[in-house]
Amino acid sequence: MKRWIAGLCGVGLLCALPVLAAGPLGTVRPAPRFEVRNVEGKPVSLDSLLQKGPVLLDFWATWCKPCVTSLPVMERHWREHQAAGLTVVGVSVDGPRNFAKVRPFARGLGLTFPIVLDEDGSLARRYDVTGMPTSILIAPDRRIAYVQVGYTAGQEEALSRAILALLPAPAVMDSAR
Amino acid sequence: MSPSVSAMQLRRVLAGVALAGCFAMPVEAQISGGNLLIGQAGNVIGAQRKDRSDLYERLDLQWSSDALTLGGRFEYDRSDDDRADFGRAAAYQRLTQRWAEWDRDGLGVRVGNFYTILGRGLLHRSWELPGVVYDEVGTQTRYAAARDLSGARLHAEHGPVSAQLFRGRVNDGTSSPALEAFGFERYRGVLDGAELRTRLPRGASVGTAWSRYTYGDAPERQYASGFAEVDPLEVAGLKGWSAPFAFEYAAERPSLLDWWQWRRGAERAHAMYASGGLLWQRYTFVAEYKDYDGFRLGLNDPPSLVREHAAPLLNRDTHLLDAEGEEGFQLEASGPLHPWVTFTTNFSRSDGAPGVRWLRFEERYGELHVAPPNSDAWECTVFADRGFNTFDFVIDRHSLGLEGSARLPQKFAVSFDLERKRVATQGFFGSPEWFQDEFVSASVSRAGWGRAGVSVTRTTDPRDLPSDDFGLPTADRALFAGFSLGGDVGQSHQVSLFAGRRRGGRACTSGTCYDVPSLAGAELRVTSRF
Repeated sequence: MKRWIAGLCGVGLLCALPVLAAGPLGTVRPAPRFEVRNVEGKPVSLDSLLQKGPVLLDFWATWCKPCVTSLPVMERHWREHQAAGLTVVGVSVDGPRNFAKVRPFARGLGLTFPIVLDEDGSLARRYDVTGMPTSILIAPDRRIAYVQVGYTAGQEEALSRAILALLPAPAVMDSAR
Repeated sequence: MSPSVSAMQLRRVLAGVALAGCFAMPVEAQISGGNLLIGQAGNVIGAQRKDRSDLYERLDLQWSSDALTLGGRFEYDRSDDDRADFGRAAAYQRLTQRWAEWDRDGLGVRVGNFYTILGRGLLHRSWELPGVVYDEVGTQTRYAAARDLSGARLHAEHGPVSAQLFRGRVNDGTSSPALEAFGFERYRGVLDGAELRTRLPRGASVGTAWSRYTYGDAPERQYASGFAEVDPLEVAGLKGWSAPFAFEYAAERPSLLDWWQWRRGAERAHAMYASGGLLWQRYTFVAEYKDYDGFRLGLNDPPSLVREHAAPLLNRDTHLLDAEGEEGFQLEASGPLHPWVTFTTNFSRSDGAPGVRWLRFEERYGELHVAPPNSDAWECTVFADRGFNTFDFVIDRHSLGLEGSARLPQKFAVSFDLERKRVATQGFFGSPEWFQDEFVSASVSRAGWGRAGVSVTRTTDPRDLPSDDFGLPTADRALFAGFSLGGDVGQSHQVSLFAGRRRGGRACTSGTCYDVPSLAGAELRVTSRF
């Protein structure tokens, strides 16, 4: 019983940590830099993407059911806000078992945003990904603005609000129309 | 390593990270991390231990400033059961990973624990399965699902050319940190590796890799490979069509200069993997081929060429690759039949001879996905699967399933999953012995609130039937029923609770398969990031 109490105290401490840390830990966390190639061999660099506007990283896998449901939603975000500067990057965490299927899978779903292979899992670890799908919205100043782990229908509204908050005002008005 | 020493190490690392963070905050330094806590109470079905509780805790912390990052992982597991003598001895708390990394302008070096891949994984791939925790059967402890190296890795990229060089002791990911208290080495042997690859115009690339494994007085094992990726249609400038092609060939004991000498005989270990695809609009076709001989290295991850299914009953019945001797292929096609309907078909086959006779895995899978165009109001998928797997003594297996989801007003949504599977195994006297699995699950969720679900599995699988002290079944079927609750607590925490009976068996995540013990009880999981 003591161990459980100690465990629960630990959980309580962790819950309080972001609150106690206020700014530095909760809101100013910079996104780790990366420079990778997409499945078509083209370079994808966080720094260069952020020059256009916010970046939405979506970690997914071909074997993950909620990912299959959420990917068309990501495509919608991409199509709606691409002109305003948003870039969506799909990060496949599939292993070698499924490398060959990633590109056809994305094509089959009609995805048009860039897809990268996280072959050695380094991107997922840098971003502390613990479940699939995980969507991470990065503001142009490289701070992590929003994180969504898992997906249930309707969650896209909160993500959409977070995206709109990072887009320039005229773009928001265009998106609203 | 005693628990007190580990606790001291943890305090040192935490203090170091905090101190470094304090000094470095003005130059955009950052402490970040994640925490996973899993508490279990109940019985591990089939095990001797009853009324057992287990607490697993994993804390990842990293401090980063500009190009430098320092990180560490602390793991803790303690269980309370009837055989406290062994259970408590097997408990552990220790730093299981620590590392420092410097990365700038295409040049990086990492010292400590690291992960990497050579080529497509024929020679080496180290990995971690996000959110997955293994159960060590012997010590009844839990630990992070990871295969990693401990040493140093250097990587560099300049223009189209990239290279990496590493040396590290190998943790193959199959043993709990608790075993170290019994003198067991988790990091065994030394792996050296190198890779050089260059990008070519129009998305093509070629490369070569080399690895050498040494362990004590055992003979040194040395391998090399060459690999290439190209899309001939893109090279030809054909718009609208794609034909991605990938190839890797690896063999034992060549030098870096003679890896390409093609040998497929029995004279030396080799592995060949090739894939080709044809994509047009939303229609896709992929073909893959494998030929592995003597390549069960324990450090590599060659593609298995068996479909990884999301459906629970299919996922648990996958074929485990044995790269010591397997040849096979996989074909998959998908595309729209109608604006509402998309199809996927898959055919895979693997042949091997791990013993004295040839064995075969074969599977045919078909799926129809139905959803209204340009709407996510509802969707459903129906699948059928037929196959056999004589590696596992399964001579016939057919499965059917229907799953779907729908949005409701007020941000509510519902989902369901119905699956049924019939399996025939080779009986002792040659006649088939059939068993059946039925799986039902349903859930309701509301965005922003959370999710509640129930799942029921009914099976006549002899491996799951309740049995007496002599191992004789006491019922002709087993029922596993449970409910789950889950939701977010703010932006930083996710909490989920399962209660009931959960069926164990094989599970696969991201291409890696592992065994999960059956549970009758409750499990609380808290995931945090900060």
